[in-house]
Amino acid sequence: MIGPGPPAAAGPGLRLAADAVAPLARARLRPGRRGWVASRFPRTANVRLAPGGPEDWVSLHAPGPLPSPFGIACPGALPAWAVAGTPVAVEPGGDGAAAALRLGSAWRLALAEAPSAETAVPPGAPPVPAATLRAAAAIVTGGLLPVTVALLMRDAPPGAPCGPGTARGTALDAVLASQARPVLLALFRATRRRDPAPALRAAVALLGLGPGLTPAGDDLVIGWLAGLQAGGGGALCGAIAEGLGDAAASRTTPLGTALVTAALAGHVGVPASRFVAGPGPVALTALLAVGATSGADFLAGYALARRALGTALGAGERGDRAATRGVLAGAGP
Amino acid sequence: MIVHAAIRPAVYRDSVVLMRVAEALRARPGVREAAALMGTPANHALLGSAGLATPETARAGPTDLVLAVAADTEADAQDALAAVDALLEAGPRRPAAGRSRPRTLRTALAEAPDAALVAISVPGAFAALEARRALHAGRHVFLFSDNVPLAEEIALKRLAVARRRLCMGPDCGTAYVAGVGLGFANVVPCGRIGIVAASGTGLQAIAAHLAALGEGVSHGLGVGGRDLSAEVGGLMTGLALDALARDPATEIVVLVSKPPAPATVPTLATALRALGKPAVACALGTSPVAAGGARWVETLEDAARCAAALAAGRGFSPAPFADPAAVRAALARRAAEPGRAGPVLLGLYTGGTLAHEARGILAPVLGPIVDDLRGGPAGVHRIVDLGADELTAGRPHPMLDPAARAAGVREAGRLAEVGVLLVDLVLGRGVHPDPAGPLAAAVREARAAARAAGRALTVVGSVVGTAADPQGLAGQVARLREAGVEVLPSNAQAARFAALCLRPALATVLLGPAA
Repeated sequence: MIGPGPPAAAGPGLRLAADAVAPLARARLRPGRRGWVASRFPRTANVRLAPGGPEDWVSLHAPGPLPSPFGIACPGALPAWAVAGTPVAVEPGGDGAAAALRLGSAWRLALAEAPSAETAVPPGAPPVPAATLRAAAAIVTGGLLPVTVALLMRDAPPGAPCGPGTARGTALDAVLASQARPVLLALFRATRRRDPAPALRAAVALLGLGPGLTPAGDDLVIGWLAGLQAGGGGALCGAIAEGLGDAAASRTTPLGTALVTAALAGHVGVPASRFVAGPGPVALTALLAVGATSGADFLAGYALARRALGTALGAGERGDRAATRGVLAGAGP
Repeated sequence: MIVHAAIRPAVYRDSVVLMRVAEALRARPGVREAAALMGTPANHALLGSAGLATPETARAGPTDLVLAVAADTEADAQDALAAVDALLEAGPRRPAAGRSRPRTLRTALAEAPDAALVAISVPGAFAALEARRALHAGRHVFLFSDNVPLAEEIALKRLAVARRRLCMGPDCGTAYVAGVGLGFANVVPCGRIGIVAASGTGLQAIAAHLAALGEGVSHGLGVGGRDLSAEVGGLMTGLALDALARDPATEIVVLVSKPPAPATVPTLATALRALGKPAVACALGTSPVAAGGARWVETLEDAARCAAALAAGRGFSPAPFADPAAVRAALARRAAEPGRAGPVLLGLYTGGTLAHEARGILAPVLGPIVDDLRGGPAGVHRIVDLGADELTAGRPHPMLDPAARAAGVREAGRLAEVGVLLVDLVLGRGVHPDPAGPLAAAVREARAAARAAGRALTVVGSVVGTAADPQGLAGQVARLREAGVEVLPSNAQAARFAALCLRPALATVLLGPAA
């Protein structure tokens, strides 16, 4: 699909400089690469560079913290004519690095001087305070955060949609929660035991699940991966990486696959990265503002991983489902 | 149930748009459930479990957008799907051109250095921090957030008093400052009556009644529901009363609250006496407090009527009903309905203060009334505030999302013991754009279910609103009446009407002898 293109009389075009570039985007923007706008939203243009695999995405965003791990922050609004199909090209610079990204023929975004955005998941980051989870659960409806918090905390909000017949949210929310609950339980147990096979099974079952262009399950899995990386579960993350990356290609949307792939490489959006580094109120507010429930679902997965990794196994507890359930019911940190 | 679906291959909309499309589809006539999601394998299972799978959805892949609706009729389902493309193309709700969206208080204050008031609506655990920053920056605070710990509230209010700045809240749902409504606010004229309210819907109800009486509000200062507790000691009520005393635009002062803690009454009395202006006080659910300096009334409507009378230099005497003849006619309509009516009253409220007021009016004549949906013995009267913290944790307030109340109304139609259903409806800015619509539809279904079972169900209500509200008072009232709701001019009158339905002998007291 080819878009209408830029104005014909654009002349030399608009020359701008990026505010920030994510490290993954900089690595992908090799001189001479070409691509196209794959999807366009008011504040975002998702670009697929040829050949178009999960590691060939970059995203252009209007000013603000980059929500995507392969994003480029623009200094102003994106041009309205840059719709799906608009051609994209990476211009070479003098030193062999990318000098600029060109949209159509009239819009050029200089990259060389732009600072790098903080998208890497910081290892050894502090855990999520219980009050933060409670605060988030009190204001989020839909998606997978409410059911996850209900699983993780004994004092979860009353009426959390843990199964069919509960009154919170829509009927679809209740079905989503009831489908996700056993999978989240399995993911928690497997993470706690650092057991790759059941962890992979549970994570794969979440891929593509739920509403959203990046389904809620994808966001939760991305948060879980960040939780593993930040909380001492790097070995588990490495063990499931190949299987999860392969599964994503068939289980979720191309953009979801690209985001999971980036998370496996240790990169998330800037609001998520900042929250991991310092889970305070400002960071939480910025995280919850991402997408409809994307930020909240990231938080759900991240908290699940951190809580599972931070819960010690008791003597002889390995394999004891009842004991694990006891931990979930409230004995966690 | 009819299920239809449409597939839009390679159509990508961001998550916020997809959520809004699903909400808009659910709000359409006859639609019971709707989904707008990508056709991934996991979502096929989800659609199947939700009863939304069709042969069309089975063909969708991960790059396809699936739109599915379950509706009462074929026509409803088709109509809903016909609207899908327009909904997908509808523009996002964005701030007006030129308006920035600062992400921190510091940035906001830098962009608006002349702003005198900061409105805070962040999760309660963090709200106190932001409020403290605002007070230290010399601003008044409108603290919409709830779940702020009591100790934090006390500390904030002490800081506010020390700095002579208002800290309205926490859990302050409504305020009017110099004609600007904050939070859930009806569109009311500016005027000469100032209100101090430890109750959001109480403030709304009084302001709306005043508008109907031709009076306006100078300022309506919320102080949060706990301000007159023994722990907080009326710190902000005192400061707000003092502010209105000094305000030249305020000629009459109204104070509204739930019953104050006994320990705060002397402070309150002192503040009311020090006003130097005529005052009306309404502490719902309690008899007039022995505190001088104000005329004490028992209902929100009376508070407005008394204030308007004082402003006009007229006398005021309360009356149970504004139009006894209309009440007699409504009772006659009820008596003519076929079927036996259950003996129990169920109140399903979205406004906490209105629920409290109704309990205060009805308990003396009906006996014990419990305030939750499940507790207490069978056959007991219930009046429930569906906006209470414990029922709204993690979900929108019922003034924003009428679905939970509508479900309760439908359920009431199936309960043989319920003979009278009492409801409120709150209009204004910040609330649902058409709250009467979902309520009226649910009332129709409830009454039909009761009729089918050989029972009569009387639905009684009142509307807090003004003609200038975005929803339009007259239209909302008309929608309820068309659905069979007996709409009274105030919550107090609605509660009294409910009492008459269940205790007809009260007619001689409340209506006087029949003509």
